[in-house]
Amino acid sequence: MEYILEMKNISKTFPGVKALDNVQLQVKPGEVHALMGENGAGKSTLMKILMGIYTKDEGGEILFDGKPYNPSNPKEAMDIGVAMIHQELNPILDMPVYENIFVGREIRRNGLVDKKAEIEESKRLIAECGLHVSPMELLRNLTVAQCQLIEIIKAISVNAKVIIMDEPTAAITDREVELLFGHIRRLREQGVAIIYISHRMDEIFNICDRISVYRDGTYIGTGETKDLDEPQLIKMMVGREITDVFPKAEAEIGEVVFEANHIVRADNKVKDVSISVRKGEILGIGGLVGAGRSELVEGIFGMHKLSQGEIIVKGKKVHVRSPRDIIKEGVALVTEDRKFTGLNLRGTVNDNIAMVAINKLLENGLYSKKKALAASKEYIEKLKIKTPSGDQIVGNLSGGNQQKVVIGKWLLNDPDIIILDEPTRGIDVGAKRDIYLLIGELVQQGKAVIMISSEIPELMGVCDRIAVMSEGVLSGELPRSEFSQEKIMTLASKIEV
Amino acid sequence: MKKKVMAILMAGILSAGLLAGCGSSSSSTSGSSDNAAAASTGAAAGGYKIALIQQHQTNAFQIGVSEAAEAKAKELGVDLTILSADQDAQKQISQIEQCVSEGYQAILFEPVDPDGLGDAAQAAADQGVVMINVISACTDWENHGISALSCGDNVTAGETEMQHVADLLGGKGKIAILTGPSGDAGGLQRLEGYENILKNYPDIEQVVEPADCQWDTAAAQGTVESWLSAYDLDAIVCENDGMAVGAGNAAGADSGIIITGVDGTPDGFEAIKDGRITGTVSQDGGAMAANGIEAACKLIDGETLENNTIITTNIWIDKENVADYE
Amino acid sequence: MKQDELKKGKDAKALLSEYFIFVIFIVIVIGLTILKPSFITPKNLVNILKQASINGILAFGMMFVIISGGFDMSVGSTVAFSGILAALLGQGNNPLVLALVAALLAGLGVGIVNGVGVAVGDLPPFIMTLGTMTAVRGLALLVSNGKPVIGMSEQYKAIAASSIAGIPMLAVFLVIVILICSFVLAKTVYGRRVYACGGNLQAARVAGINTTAIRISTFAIAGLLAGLSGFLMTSRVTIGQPTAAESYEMDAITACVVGGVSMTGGVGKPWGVVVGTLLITVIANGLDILGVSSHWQKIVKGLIIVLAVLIDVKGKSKKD
Repeated sequence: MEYILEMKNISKTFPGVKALDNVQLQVKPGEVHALMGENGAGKSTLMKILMGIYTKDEGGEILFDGKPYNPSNPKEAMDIGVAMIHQELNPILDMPVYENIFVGREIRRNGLVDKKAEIEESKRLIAECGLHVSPMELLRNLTVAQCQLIEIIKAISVNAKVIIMDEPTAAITDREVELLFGHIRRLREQGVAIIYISHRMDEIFNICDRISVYRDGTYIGTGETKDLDEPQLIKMMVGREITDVFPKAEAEIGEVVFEANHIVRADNKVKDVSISVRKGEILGIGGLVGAGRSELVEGIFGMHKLSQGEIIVKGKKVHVRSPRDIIKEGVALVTEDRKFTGLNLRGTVNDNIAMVAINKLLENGLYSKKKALAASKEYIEKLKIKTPSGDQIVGNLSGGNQQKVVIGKWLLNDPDIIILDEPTRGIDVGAKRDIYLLIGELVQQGKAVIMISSEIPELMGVCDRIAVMSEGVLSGELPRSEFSQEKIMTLASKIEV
Repeated sequence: MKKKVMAILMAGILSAGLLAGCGSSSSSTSGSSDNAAAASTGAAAGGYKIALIQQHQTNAFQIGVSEAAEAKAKELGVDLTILSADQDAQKQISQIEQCVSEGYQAILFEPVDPDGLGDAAQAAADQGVVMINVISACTDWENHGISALSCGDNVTAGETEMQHVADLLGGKGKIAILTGPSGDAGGLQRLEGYENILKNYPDIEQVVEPADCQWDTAAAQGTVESWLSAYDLDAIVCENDGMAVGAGNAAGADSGIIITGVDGTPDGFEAIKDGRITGTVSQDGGAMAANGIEAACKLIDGETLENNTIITTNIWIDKENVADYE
Repeated sequence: MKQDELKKGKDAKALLSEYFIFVIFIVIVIGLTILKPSFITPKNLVNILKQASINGILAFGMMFVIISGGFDMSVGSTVAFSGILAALLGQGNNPLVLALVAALLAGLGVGIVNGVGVAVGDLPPFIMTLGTMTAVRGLALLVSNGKPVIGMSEQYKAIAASSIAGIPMLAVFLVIVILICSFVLAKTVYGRRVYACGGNLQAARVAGINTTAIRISTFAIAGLLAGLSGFLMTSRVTIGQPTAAESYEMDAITACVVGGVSMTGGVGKPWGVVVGTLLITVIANGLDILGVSSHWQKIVKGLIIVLAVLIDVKGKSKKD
């Protein structure tokens, strides 16, 4: 048996869209197999078919361990031996860790849940994973990274033969990534196949044995990782060559337009941080997950209470009680969590574009659908948003396109200072490049940009200056001439004694 | 912080509202306790301490009961406390227990549930309290320590109403019936009364099933509007005045359709006067309560009753005599 | 080319699924007409309009609350309370406008209390409005001393009884409410923000929308319309009853849900609520004129509502 899993001639049609057209995938036991492709390439759809969430169109077949495989729901898929770690975690926040691990397949004794056995087993699994949390801890009290590892533990504990990992490292720190890779290697030795979906090239080349590439719902090809290099892979994914990954536009840097001084958050997650940005400048904020970067910008933006701090926009001191106060002054914030704080997923692209600057879409004082359509059309074109029309429900778009809608909604308000929190998280190479180009355009127009990112190469490629945070304080600042991976890492892991 | 203050404030406003709501049931009580205070000096000189526990106090009929009971108490020098069980049998049981421990000599009550209050009544009677049922009876009341029953008779009321309808129709015609909530004991008894009469009139035809309009005017109005566009009706017989008023509104004044109710409430009288409804059978709840208080006083004084079931008679009220009853 | 064909197929299907509830409504109307031709007489159509009016007005208030992500249990009590106030002030020779204004203010007041409790006090809408539902019912009983209020002026009674060009006055009020509400939701900045709040409250706040004010205002609108309903209700039944309008909130919620307003907020169209209101009125009216017994009516009404929504939801979910 060469393949543990074979998907042949798989197609999937949604009303109006052919999401998959005759694609294939072959996975060998004991390999880490990367799925690559831009958002909308069909990777997620293919995996949802594998998990029984979608049914494939007639024709085509799936073989698991040589036998026909047609699960009708994720539970069935898991029982057969396919588990998935989703990109968007769905932990039950008010349940303890052990119950989260065993939810849906509780250990039973005499028909009742054997709590003791579950706790014991969880303890063992957690320890194996190198995590230091009690099985009794509520998920609510864990960090995003810890929740992610719990999810991974869950999949491992099902004894699955194929584990799908969708962007598993999106929200965890480098140290945790190393731990995760340790587990992946161990699983590989045990003969478990991992289907690994990620946009991070370094990870793909680090951990994966083979790579399958998809584009626009079609299958492009499969190759051994050792035979491929990054430019080749990018060419397969986007269908053309991308020479510079981080295009850097030249812009004239002017006076200081935005200052936040001595910011202290009421919950003490940010302690006395000061930053400023000039007209035409791109300020990067680096640091590890949990260093307080998002907390800083959300505090500045009035989403959380500050106990101290002064915010000066274009020379004017602004008292920020809610986001409204600072939006009025021409500041925009593209938040990290677009589903929770960025988008109305039930609304259309129009609705979302109109969310901030609806006043620009009025005719005789009334909301004009025509103007809204025109505006969303403009941003759909400008930002290359892939959507059938402005009337599409945003929840049906892919991650990268959703992110572009969030950006479009702010751009309509024509802000002078734009704060972007992890703007490229979970989106593909092509869309990332679109966003870098856009940032370049913005600073050329004389706007100021603050960008938070966990990817150091990205910060180094895009920014004029990088401020690095660690444990809620500013641990240092580097001008572009002094950028280096080592210096940024050192500042990021600086721990105050 | 601000939020907390607001939450507390809201709770405050709410509870103020609730208290005000409670006030409605206690207002009659306080009224009577004023009397009681005045009468309590007399009570020392052989006055009576009596409690009346009503099913609820949310309609004209029940308010009439409270008012008549207070008037009677004043007349007889009774220290009367009126409580409302708010349609809750459990609450009524606790109220009976409370009254026993507070030393009331007699308790008059309208059982929320005819089967659920027998034991509580028996327990109170065992403590030497005179127990009297008013308006409606507990099942097998004589064997639960209850000394007397002062009531109207729903079956008779139904019979009186339907007999008048039959007479007005000349024994022939198409009718429809509006009932209270399906399963309500009083409603079922009135329906029984209707059937007792209809047996004698084969030419009176019910063209639609009786409709459950929940004692509600608006519901009755909607149903009758619909009926009138599909059926020719000669009479609409309603189990209370509220629904009769609704039927009257749907048909319009002097429609030629005979519309009748039961209870004799002010809204019914108003509709009789302006011709929207034909007549009503008065269930004199006030008289039932007053008779009950009188019986209680006699029993406390050690006298015996001629008859321990005191029936308050029903009266037919129509345009002719409505002025006498307002 | 292929894409275009698919798109066309989708449009027809999407259109059908979007307007499915309307199709169901038409089917029920045709069915009732066949079973009982008198259903479709002008007289009965007027009845249906009258019977739909008060619930329709309440449903439109409820729609604002539900679209913004809330829920209002208190409208039935508010109808009773404002109806009693209107009845007390509509007696004798008082100018009618006094009764109307009092009813509207009473409703508005209850609505604002609800809104403040939910938006500022952070109470779950269900709990907050359950509280006001009980308290306001108490107020209605208190103000009326538990008795029906009679003696309304002829002028007041005439409002609900009159009609313009054969259209009952009540329906005229409903149509005005429908027109204003549809306009506000679709055309004003405020309306779009109501949808944004219900779609994602956090995102709306981050986008600079004053979500507190929006949420308070939706409850205030529901209260105001409940006040109007109370005023009309008293005119229709010619008495003020403290026990009136029991569980009217359920009918209003049903009309919204049947009409495609999502209970999770952010989604809903005014025309859907119009169809929802008409659907439940037509069912009640139709069963009445068919002479179906009350017990069966309850069963049939419940089943039709669940089936209508089920078919609607299933039809839509096929799209994804």
